[in-house]
This record gives sequence, structure tokens and C-alpha cells, in this order.
Amino acid sequence: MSKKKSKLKLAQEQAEKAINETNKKIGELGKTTGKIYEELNSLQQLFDDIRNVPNEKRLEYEKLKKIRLNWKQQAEKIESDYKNAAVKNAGAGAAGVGAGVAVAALGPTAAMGIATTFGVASTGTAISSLTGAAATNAALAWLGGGALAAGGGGMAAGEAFLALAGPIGWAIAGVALIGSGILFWKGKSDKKRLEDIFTLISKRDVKLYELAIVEINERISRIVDEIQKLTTTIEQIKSFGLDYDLMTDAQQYELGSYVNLMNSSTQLLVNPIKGLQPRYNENDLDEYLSSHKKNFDEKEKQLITSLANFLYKIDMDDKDRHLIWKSFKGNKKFLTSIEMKKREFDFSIIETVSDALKYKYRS
Amino acid sequence: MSDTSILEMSITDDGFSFASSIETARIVAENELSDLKETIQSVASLKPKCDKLDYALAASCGALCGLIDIFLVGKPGESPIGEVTDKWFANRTMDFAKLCGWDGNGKNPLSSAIDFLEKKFKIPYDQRGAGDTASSIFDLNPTNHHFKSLGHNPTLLGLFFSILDQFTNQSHFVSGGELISLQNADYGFEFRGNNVPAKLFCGFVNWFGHLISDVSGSSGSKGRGMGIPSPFWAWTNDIIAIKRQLNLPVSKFDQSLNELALNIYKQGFDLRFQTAQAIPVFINEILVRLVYAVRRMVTYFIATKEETHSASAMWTACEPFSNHTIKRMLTVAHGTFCLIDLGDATIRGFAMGGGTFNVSGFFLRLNIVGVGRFTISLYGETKRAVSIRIAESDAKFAQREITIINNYLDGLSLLSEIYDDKNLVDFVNDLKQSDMYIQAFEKSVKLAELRKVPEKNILRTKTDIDSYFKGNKS
Repeated sequence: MSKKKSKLKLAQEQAEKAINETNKKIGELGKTTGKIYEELNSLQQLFDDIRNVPNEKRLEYEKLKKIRLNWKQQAEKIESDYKNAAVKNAGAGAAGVGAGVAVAALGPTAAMGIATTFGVASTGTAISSLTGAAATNAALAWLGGGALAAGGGGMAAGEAFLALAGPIGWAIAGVALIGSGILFWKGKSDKKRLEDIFTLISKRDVKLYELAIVEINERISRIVDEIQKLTTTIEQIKSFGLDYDLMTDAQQYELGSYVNLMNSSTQLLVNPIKGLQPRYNENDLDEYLSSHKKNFDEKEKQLITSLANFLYKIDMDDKDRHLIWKSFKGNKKFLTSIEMKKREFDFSIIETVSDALKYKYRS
Repeated sequence: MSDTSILEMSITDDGFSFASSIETARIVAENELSDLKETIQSVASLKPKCDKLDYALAASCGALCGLIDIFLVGKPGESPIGEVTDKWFANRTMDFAKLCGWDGNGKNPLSSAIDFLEKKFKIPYDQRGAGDTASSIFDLNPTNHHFKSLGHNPTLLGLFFSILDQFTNQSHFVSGGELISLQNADYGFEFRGNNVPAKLFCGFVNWFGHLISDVSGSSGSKGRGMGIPSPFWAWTNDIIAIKRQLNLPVSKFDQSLNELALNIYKQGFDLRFQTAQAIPVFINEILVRLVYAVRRMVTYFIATKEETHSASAMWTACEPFSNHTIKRMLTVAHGTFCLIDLGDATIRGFAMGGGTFNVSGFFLRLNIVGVGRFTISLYGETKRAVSIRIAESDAKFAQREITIINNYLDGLSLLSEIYDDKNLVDFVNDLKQSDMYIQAFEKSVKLAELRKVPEKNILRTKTDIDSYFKGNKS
């Protein structure tokens, strides 16, 4: 028994380590994004100087810069939202609900790293499945969940951040919330089954964080490389002069290539890191629902999406599903957070979740 | 165009280092995957790979040896194999006597040899109950004294009491559920050795030598004589001796077991007969291992080509030791043996009792060695069953972990696609070569596509460039 328990504990410790490592990497990413952001702005300035843009077209071209602006605003919003959440949580702690998360101040560079990691909604094509607000929420839930998993906040923090409802925070908080309930299970084999499920969830999360770390490393190496390229590009363009019509064909092509480079490099700021994206999103659910001709209200949809993320790629048999359902059903804090009554939380919800996941794996 | 392809080739060559962290992660994950697969496969290696023929052969071996046990071992005094073992022990006794300096003369060489050894390895606890004080105090006589006298028991406790008796000139017996000690047992006894270690050594040699002198009966015995008790049944003495020494109550069960042991000893169940019983068990063991090896050897020669034959590979294929298949076959063989032996002993037990069950008749025929060997097999089977259960649960978990790792590997392949841009980003270098600006521009378009730049922001043609800079892009 103690051996099995240590397996779960080990997996949880690994998950904590991976979260800390990921946070460190996000910080590193933030530092490089700040630099490339400045380079990109300088380059844009140069293009604007060359461009002889009539007044009525100005407005449209401003839109092109919007992606970068969005990103910057996102970072700033994360910074201020985080501060607000921290203050609120500290207040809750003072009011005796529980110790607040010991939050380190979130600096602007870390906020930039987080903005990049969780993606920024762009105008036009959907880069991220998360809307701007959802991205902020995910980022905050991540930070909160990270602090939670590292043992900073305990249950009070878990509740506070569940309200943020980001699927990522959800998974972390869920493990903490439901996982702690395992100890109270009486049956030895039931307990082992639940422990196995939570061990697997932790192991899966470790792998997702690892994936995120790998991608952030790739991202950083590209940003560093492209900062250099952008610097030389700026020097090169300056030598072309400001009159586009006087440039050679080759120079004009070159200029066009650099516009594409500028836009491509900008994507390094706004493309989200895959490992930390929700594994299952509302689109997946809508696809499943329309193919199965089912209908759910928003609240149910949100719950199913969250649970699908929680149980993503966790192989379970019927007994496992029943146990998971029972452990959710018996958890008052969980029921409060999803605003459901005990009898409303039907087994069919879990069945739908595993059915929906099966549908997703097939595609 | 050929320039480009050469350039791309060289870029692809060092492109690897750019993707190295994805590649490293993939290698690590592949290793994890193969470890997990190994865990799953290890279950199969724990399971015996017996087919029906293996089971049938093993059971036949057991049955054959069971018949040997019934007809050739039987019970003491009516045992063809017993006669052989008796003779063997007699010869060994004489060999040992010769080793100790016996000249080998005399009309009756065995009793002469025993007589020689009895004198040579004199001990203070050799009261036979024939005319000496002991017989009058408790029921001690030449037919039971080797059993009742603890120093004559070939067990660890027997050795202990032998040495104790030699040091203190005492004599210990177990009789009627009591531990009895005689003080100043033998006035003529003198313990050899000058210091304690030497005395201990002499004590051991005396114990062993005296056991040899008694194993084929005593110098004066007629017929088979009373040998030394079998180590298994002598333990019934040890239980009583230990309990008495620790002031624990001796239960009725202990006492009746002891009486049963004494009873069958009196009927000739001694170390020699125990050895006779071991023979069919031993044959069974050898036969099963031989059958296993021969069958595998034949399979090996059929399955492998002549040019690839190798002695070590053949040995691996048919080694009849420490594998789960041979262990399962042995369990079956010894189980069959015990079943037949038990059936025979039970029937004869009833036959001897004339309707009621004759317990000592049953135990005279029960092959204790076979039962012991089967118990060991069963213990092994239980242990293996437990480890298989654990391994199976581990394997089930590993299977679930594989799902996770595969998901991770899918993620990594996606990343290696998304970040496969080294040769695209290098268009900046291409631009330094004056004639390659169009190819460079095309690469920049591809890069923008790979990075998912919003469609309308990508400049795809010269017209796009012109309109971007001259303001007539619609």
C-alpha cells in the first residue's frame, strides 16, 4: 500500500518540478520577447517611413500592427489582473478563509512570457482557440495552479482559482482537490484504482509540461536568432534609402521578404505553446455534439469540456469511471465550484465525457 | 535552381542541430516507451510455457515413480529398495571404520566394524536400557534407545545435546512427553581436547562418528537392527525438548505425534528407510528434468538450421533448471507422485486397521520425502503466482502510461513540423547573394505560412509588395 502511495506522490512531485521548470522557462521566454518586440517596432517604423501611405489607407495599415499591440496589451492585462487577484486572495486569507497564496510580484517580462505562452487572440484567423479573456484566465489559472501545486496555497487558493475556470488551472486544481480525497476511501482496491488514475493524470501533465518546455526552448532559440537577423535587416534597409520607386527590383523583393520576416517573427510572440493549450476545447465538444445530435446548455458544456481536459488520454474502464464519478459527487467543494447539486451530477455526465473523448481520439 | 538544391542540402545537414531539443526529447521518450513495453513483456516470461504434452509427460513421470514407491519402497522390512539402502549404509559404515583404523577382520565384518566404531567414538549417553539403570526408571530398551536418546538424533538439537552431554557427563532422553536427564551417566567417560574449541570439535566428531556406528544398528543386533531415526520424525523429540526446557506446556498433540514417530521407528522407519523413500522422489526429479531437456533439444534441432547450431544456444534452449516451465512440470510430477502415494498409504492404513484407520500403518507408507518435495514446489508456485499478479498489475499500468507517452510523441512530431523552419529563416543569408532574391522571397512566404501569419498580411507577389509600400493594395 505504502509503495503505491509513493508512486502517486512521486508523480505529483514530478509534476510540481515540471511546473516550476516551465515557469522558469516562461520567464526566460519573456526576457527574449521584450527584445524582439523592440526590434520589430523599429523595423515597422522603417517600413512606415518608406511607405507612402495615403491618409485614408493609414487606418487599415494600423490594423497590421494590431497583432503586436494586442500581445503587448495582453501582457499588461495579465500583469494587472494578476496583481488584483493576488490582492483579493491575500484579503481572503486575512479574513480567515485560509492562507493566501504567497505570490511573488509578477514583473512585466514574466507577463510577456505568459502572454506568449498562452497565446493572443488575433484579428482575423483564430490563432488560439482561447479568446483574449480566456487566455488571460488560463494564464492566471496557470500561475495560481502552479503556486497551488507547489504547496503554496492549499485549498483556499484552489477555490479562488477554480473561479477562473481555465482548463489548465482546472486540471491542476482538480488533482489537488479530488486527489486529496483519496485518503478517505475505504476499499483498498478502489483506493488503488483512484490512485492509479491520479498518478496517470500527474504523469500525463508532466509530459505536457515537458512538451511545453521543449517548445519554449525552440521558441527562445528562434527569437534569439531572429533578433540578430532583424538587427542586420534594419541596417540593410537603411542603406536602401526612403524612396521605394528608386529601388532596384532586387531591393524591392528584399523589402517584401523583410515584411514577411517581420510578420513571421511577430508570430513567435503570439503563437501559443502547444503543451499548455487545453487538450479539449469547446470546438471539439461542438463537433461531437453536432455529430451525435445532442444538446447541452452552456454550464454543462463548460463542465464537460473541463472534465474532458481533466481525463484526456487517461485510459479507464467502467469501474474507474464509476469511481471517478463517485469521488466527484462526494466532493462538496467541487460541486460548489461547478454550481451543481449532488443529485444533478449524474453519471451520464462522465459517460458523455468519455464518449466525447473517444470521438476526439478517433479524429 | 541547382544552386538552391545544393544550398538546401547543406542547410538540411546542419538543420539537425536546430531541432536537437525536440530530437533529444523524442529519444528519451522512445526509451521510456521501450521500458514500458519491456514491463508488459516481462509478464509472459514469468508464466510457465507448458503445453499439454509437457503436463502429460510430467504426470506420467510422477505416476511411474508413484508405482516404484508402492511396489519397491513400500514399508520397512518389506522393501526391495530398502534392502539396497540398508546394504549401502552397511558398506559405508565399514568404509568409515576402515578410515578410522579398523582392520576389517572378523566373521561378521559389519558388527565388528560397528563394535570398533562404538569403542572409538565413546559417548556418555549410550544407555541402551539393556540391563542398565535407565531401563528400570523409564521404558528404555535397545529398540527405542536411538530414538529416545537426543544425542542419537541426526538433528541440530541432537548435536547440541550430544555436546552438552559430553561436557557435563549427562545423558538426555525424551520419553512419555518428558525431557529426562541422567547425571554422571558414565563413570568411565573422559572428554578429549585440552581447551573449549578443541573439546567442541571432539564433541562434534564423537557425535558424528557415533551416529555412523549406529546407522546400521548396533554391534549386537540381529537382522536389520535399529538404525538412527529419520531427521524428520526426530523433530517430534525436539519439539518436546524445547518446550520442556522453556517451561511451555507440551500439548497432547505433540505427545501423540511423538508416540507415533516412536511407533513407526520401532517398526523400522529409520534414516536408512527414509533414504530408500528419497530414491523414487529423486528419480522423479531427474526423469522430469531429463524429459524436459530432451524434448527441448529435439525441438531445437528441428527448428534451427544445422549451420547455426551452437552448444550454448542449445543449452539455453533446453537447460532444465531455474525456469518457470520446468518448475511447473516438477510441481505436476511431484503432485501426481504424492497423490498416488497418499492413496496407497490410505488404503493400506485401512487394510491394516481392519476397518478402522491404522495411523502408524499409514505413516509407515507415506513418503515423507515426496511430501516435502511437493511442499517446496507448491511454495514456489504460490510465490510465482503472487509475483505474476503484481507484474500483471504493473503491466496494466504500463499500458496506460504508453497511451500518455504516445500522446507526448505525437506532440513532439507536431512540434518538429512547426519548427522545421531552419532553411526558411535562412533566406536572409540567401539575400546576400544578389541573384537569389526571388527564391529568398518565396522562402519568406513559406515561413510566414508555417508561422501562421494571418493570410491577408502575407506578401505573396511583387504586386503585394508594391501595394504594401505604394499604398494601392486593395
